[in-house]
Amino acid sequence: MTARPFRDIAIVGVAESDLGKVPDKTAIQLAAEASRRALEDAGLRKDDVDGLFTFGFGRMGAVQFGEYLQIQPAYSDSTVMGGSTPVAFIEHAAAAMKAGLCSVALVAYGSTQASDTTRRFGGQAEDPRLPGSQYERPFGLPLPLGAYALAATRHMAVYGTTSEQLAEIAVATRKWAALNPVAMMREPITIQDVLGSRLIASPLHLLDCCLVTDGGGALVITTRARGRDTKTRPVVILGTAETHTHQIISQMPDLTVTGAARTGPRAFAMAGLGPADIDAAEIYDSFTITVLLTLEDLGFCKKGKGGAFVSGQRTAPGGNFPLNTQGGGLSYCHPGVFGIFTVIEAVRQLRGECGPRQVKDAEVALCHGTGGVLSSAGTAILGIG
Amino acid sequence: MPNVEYRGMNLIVPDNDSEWTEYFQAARQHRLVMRKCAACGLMRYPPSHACPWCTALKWGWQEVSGRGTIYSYEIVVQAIQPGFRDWAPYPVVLVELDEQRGEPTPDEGLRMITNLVHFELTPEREENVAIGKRVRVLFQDLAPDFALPQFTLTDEPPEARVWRFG
Repeated sequence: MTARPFRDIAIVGVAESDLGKVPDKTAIQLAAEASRRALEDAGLRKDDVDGLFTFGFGRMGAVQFGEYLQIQPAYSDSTVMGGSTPVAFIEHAAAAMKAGLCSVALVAYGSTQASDTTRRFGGQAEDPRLPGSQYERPFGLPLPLGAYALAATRHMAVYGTTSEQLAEIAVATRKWAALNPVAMMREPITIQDVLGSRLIASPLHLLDCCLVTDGGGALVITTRARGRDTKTRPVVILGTAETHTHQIISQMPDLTVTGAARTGPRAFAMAGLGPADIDAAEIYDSFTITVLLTLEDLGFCKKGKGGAFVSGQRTAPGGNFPLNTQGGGLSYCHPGVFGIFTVIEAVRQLRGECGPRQVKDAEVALCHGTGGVLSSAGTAILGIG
Repeated sequence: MPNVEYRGMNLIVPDNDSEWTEYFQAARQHRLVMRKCAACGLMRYPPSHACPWCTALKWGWQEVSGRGTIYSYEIVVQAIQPGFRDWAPYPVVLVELDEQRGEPTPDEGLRMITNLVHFELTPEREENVAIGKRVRVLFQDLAPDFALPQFTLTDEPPEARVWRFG
């Protein structure tokens, strides 16, 4: 592997759509709104876009979105691997640019899952003929939460992880959200609040779970040479990796080890960096256990030591490990596919735009997305250009 | 095509899907079967056509003992599927079968999502559910060609220290 093969490719525009409860807009509208704002952020025009990366608008996501925005791209990618997909799209877009197939990539996502009161993307019904429908749904496994609960139970039994340690993550993340004016949930919470919130499926309480909101996000990625003309400081791609390990939870080889154990070492090797070099970590927090497993698998601590690692509010503002600095899916927003918001925040931190929640002298940030039921993983390590 | 209604769900087994048809027919005969590769001898669950390890297309059904150990579990307090709301709180367990544990890699085994139930198919009480406890299969007959494999606790001693939440 060449060192930093994507070092000449930069993320030059990021934006959210309106977030929270947005009852008067559709998913595709939110994605379009975020795309417009991300292009404005980059100082590029819609007609500059020649690579389109999105999913969730029917079966042919990029095709549908291309029609909606009147973009006829040279490179089109409707990959679906759940919440990690936008992070994986960084790698896909960079590889396409290295091959000369496109030069301005738009990555977009939108969802109205709060207004829809459903977790399904674009109204697509789960196919009753897939293995999960036949072999897991009949037993009342509440998805996706129930799969994460099984992993949490196993981690507690094997490593002695406690509910208090999982709650540390929720409490610290809420403190970051208090510093973010667009975060949904900004009132402080305590560990006792988390433990006292109702159990959904043991061992996960309500406050161990991410929000369900509407919202969208977009990224604009281009070559660094072209990025010189953009308005903002380019954020370059130092390392990327993606994988998936299973679709249904019974097929996960070890319930305590995620795909991050594969993507982390590869992304760090590509970047020529290690966990100690990361100034800000933006890690998909669908549930508190998701973060704990990912921290271990990316190598920030040893397997089984995640509980000790997050204890004492280490990941809160003022702690020595800034984590999910926009307030995460737990407290800021979660329209599904939170991977895109991990990238948006990492870019803003590296540009130094984050005001009261700014991580001082942030030069290298890591984003990590998790999809399905701990099924897929995407890691990207970003740096200032 | 068996089209079984269960707790408000339509459990469709397509006629052209021999994997599912035969698996659930065996269950209706109260036999728990796995697909076994004719080339490398490894079993797999759920059933699939090609061996996921050696890719061979030849296979046979292998009956297993139906005994295993609870690998992980949860107590569902707030059911998402409407048909399960009157059943909550109920356990969902991940059972590791006795056969083929630690194969083909040390982390793998034949693991099944199931409920932990009493003989009369009511949910096991929370205080009796724990990782490491021994279980055996029983069958919930739902149609002439369809039964769901469920699991129940046995009197066997656990093989190691058990662990439960709370």
